Amino acid sequence: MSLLLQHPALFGLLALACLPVLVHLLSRARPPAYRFSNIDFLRRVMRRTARIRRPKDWLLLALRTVALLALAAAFISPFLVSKDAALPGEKTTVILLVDRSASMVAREGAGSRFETACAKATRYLEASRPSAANLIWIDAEPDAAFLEPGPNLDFLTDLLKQAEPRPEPGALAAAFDLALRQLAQASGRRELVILSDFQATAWRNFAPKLPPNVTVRTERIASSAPPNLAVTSLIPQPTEPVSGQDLTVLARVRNFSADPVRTQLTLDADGARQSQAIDLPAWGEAEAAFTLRPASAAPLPLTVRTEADAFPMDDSRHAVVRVRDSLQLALDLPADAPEARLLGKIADVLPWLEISAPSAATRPPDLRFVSPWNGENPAALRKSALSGCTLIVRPAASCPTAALQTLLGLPSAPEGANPTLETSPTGWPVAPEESHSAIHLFRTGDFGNPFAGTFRERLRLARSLSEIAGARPIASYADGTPALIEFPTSAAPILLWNLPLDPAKTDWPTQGVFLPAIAEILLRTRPLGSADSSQVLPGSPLVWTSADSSHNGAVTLLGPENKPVGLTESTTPDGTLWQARQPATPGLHRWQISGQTIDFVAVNFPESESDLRPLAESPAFGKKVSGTDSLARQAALSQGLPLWPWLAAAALAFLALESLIHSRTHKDARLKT
Amino acid sequence: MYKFLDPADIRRLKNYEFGAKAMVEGYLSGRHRSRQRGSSIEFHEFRQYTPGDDLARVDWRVFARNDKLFLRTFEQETNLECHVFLDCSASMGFPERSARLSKLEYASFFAAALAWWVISKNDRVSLTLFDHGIRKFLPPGSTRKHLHEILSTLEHNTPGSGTSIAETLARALPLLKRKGTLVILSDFFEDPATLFKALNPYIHRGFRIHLFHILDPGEIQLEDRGLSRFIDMESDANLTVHPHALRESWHREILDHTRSLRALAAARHADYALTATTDPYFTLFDRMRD
Repeated sequence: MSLLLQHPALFGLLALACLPVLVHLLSRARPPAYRFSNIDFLRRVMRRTARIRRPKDWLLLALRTVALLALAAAFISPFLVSKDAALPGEKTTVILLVDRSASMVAREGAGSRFETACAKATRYLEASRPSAANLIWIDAEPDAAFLEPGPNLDFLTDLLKQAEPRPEPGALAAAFDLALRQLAQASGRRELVILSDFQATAWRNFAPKLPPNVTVRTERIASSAPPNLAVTSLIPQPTEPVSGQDLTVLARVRNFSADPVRTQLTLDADGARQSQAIDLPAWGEAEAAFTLRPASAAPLPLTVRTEADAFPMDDSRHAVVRVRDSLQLALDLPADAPEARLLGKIADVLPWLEISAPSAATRPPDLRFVSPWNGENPAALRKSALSGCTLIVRPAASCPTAALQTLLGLPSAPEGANPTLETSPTGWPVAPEESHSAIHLFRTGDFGNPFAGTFRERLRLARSLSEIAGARPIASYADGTPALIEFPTSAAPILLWNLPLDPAKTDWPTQGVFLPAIAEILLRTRPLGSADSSQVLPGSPLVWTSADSSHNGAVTLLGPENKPVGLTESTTPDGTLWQARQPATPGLHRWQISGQTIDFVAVNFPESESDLRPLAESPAFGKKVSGTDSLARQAALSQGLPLWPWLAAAALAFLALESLIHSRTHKDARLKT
Repeated sequence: MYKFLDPADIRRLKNYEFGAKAMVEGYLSGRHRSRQRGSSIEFHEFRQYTPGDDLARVDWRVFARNDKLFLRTFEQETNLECHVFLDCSASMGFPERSARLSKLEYASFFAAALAWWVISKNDRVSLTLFDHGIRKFLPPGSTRKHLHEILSTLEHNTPGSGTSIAETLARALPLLKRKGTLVILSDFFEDPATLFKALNPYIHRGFRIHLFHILDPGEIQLEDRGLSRFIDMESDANLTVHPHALRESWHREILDHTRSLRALAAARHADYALTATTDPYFTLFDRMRD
């Protein structure tokens, strides 16, 4: 801090401070004489009371002196100037980094964090009046008001007044990168001013490298975190059920407060509602499961809501389940094979299963049955599994173990020799592994053994296949030879099938449990699918393309609460592209053609933004940050803070205090008289 | 007409009389009884003879009847001898140029009335004027002429210099031949312990002591005069003070001082009374009558 004087010529006015002392001395010089009986006695009394009396006199004298001193100093107009202040004529470039991520919507006191940040940024600009400034928003896609810092501060203050927070996470690294690139081009003093709530989840591990010649000022907007409930995840299982299949919706709710909470969780599945009460521990989470059975094959929008709280943006979460009318089963086996005929009959019986030839399908099949597989192209087969097609492979006797290793993605070949075919006139029984979900229906024993009957032909496979890490046996022969094993992959599983379906080699198809067993195996091992295809991050563009030219002009987009969203239409090589003019906001959006809903898009509030707790202190970024004083004060100090109003006020205050003490003293004296 | 003897006061004092406290020694027969056994006419009691008693006082009739030696004792009526000590130091001249009586004037009024009253009862009164020492001593007397002399002395008396009661009492002790009532009129701006140390010989000799502490109301409670230069009437020393700032402490100090005087007086069976110059001095006579 430095002190500058605007009118140093008036420095002599400080001599006014001597006036009360002179008055005091002069008034003491000739008081009226009074002959009194005993001065010694009076002097003794005075000695005893001097300690009490003198400070009062001295206090009055000191107050008068200080008041005049303050008044005289006010005329000199001193300025308090920060040590970091720019030299006269020096150019100053300021980049304002204002956080407008979702957590800034939280209200603290009268306004939201974002409103406070904008107000403080405006005050800072008005107080500091830099030569050039720019405003960069911290949101999902940070952008700057100007291409480079400019002198139009009024435009920036207008932007700050009109801005709204975004329901999206803040891309800190991108925002800092943009700001530092612009500062690198600037000359003179460079300041980076960060206004944020410094949400702990976002800023805790963020450590940008800042150049030493950049002054960093931080303003922590948030001081506390309001209690918040958030639906943090919504997982439909399966993600693409077939109509009539049970759909389980798992909703996870988290309590961001120090008190346990009981809340009502409501599932809205395209108008059908279910609700559950859940208890949430302090700073804990709970999960609720809803079960429903979609009747028709169409996109099914799901919304889970908690009861409203102080931060309502994350009180709901959305998902879209694409209900299928059938699963596609591709048969990769000879057309005249008995298995083909049997599977065809199964498809005829099961309404949700359709047989399709691999080459004729318009989209990849859900399941692919390969039999017999002699070990050709194991990598290609595995690739189809990784692309989301459940692969059911029945190895031939000639299939080498190396091919099996490649197909199953094993680090080493399975133990034992190559599979060999073996037969038995009496046949082998097969027992299910009840822990597998495909056997879930038969677990109680009411429906008997799903693999009832005998199997007279099988491959001798190494038992160690069942013991491979990740392998999930579904059925095994009585001697331990694997009958059916599921090998999960990142997308769809690979099933190693060692069960004959030829009626000449097994009587399983004639058993009553055969059809439900096959149906359960196909349903439970179908591709997991992903609900992410209908999920869009907030702040991302909402896009729809169509190659059908008849759709031109007929596509509309309805946002949350069925509010129309403005679209731009453009032509691309793939057809016509419609894009929302505004970035995606949390909620369900529906694309419509001529008023008919054709698809849903779920935009969910970013989970990371729900925890509103700020950092305990503003981050230092590895350098000394001027964060203790308010931004406005720092700006005022950098411009020079005029002290005369304070000095004048102090002078008045001292004089008022002096007169108060003086009048009280005299009042006491009069009362005693 | 005497300045300090008001006829109205004389009329009022005619009915005053010393009481039990005033049983003191005198050499003239009077109305005051003395425990000093003597040969006056009023029989007191019989007392058994003890070796050394005067055989002349043995009642031989009783001896004849009982064969035991008894003495007849008589109460002796004696006159009152009252010694008035009047402080004439400069401080007693306070307040100067005031409508109120100065302390010296007030004390002189009381001394004059007391002298008249004692003499009117055929008792003897002495007057000692003192400041730092004895300025004038009028030995005990009970005549009109003596009263005239006392009143004239009081009229022509003026405040003197500094005070030393202890010195005065030490010097006056040999002048008082007989014990009696000692009345000291002063503002007692003196250390109480020193004062009573000087009074001890009088107490041991059997003097009945009255200390009448005379203060102006302006001394009991300092007047709020604003910032003033206080000049000592005895030493001309000066001190500039705000009286209002010292009022409370001064009053507390005066009370402490009087409390100390009263306590020491009570311990020595002496009478002490504080009176303001605005109070009637008959209250002091009341104390002497009790």
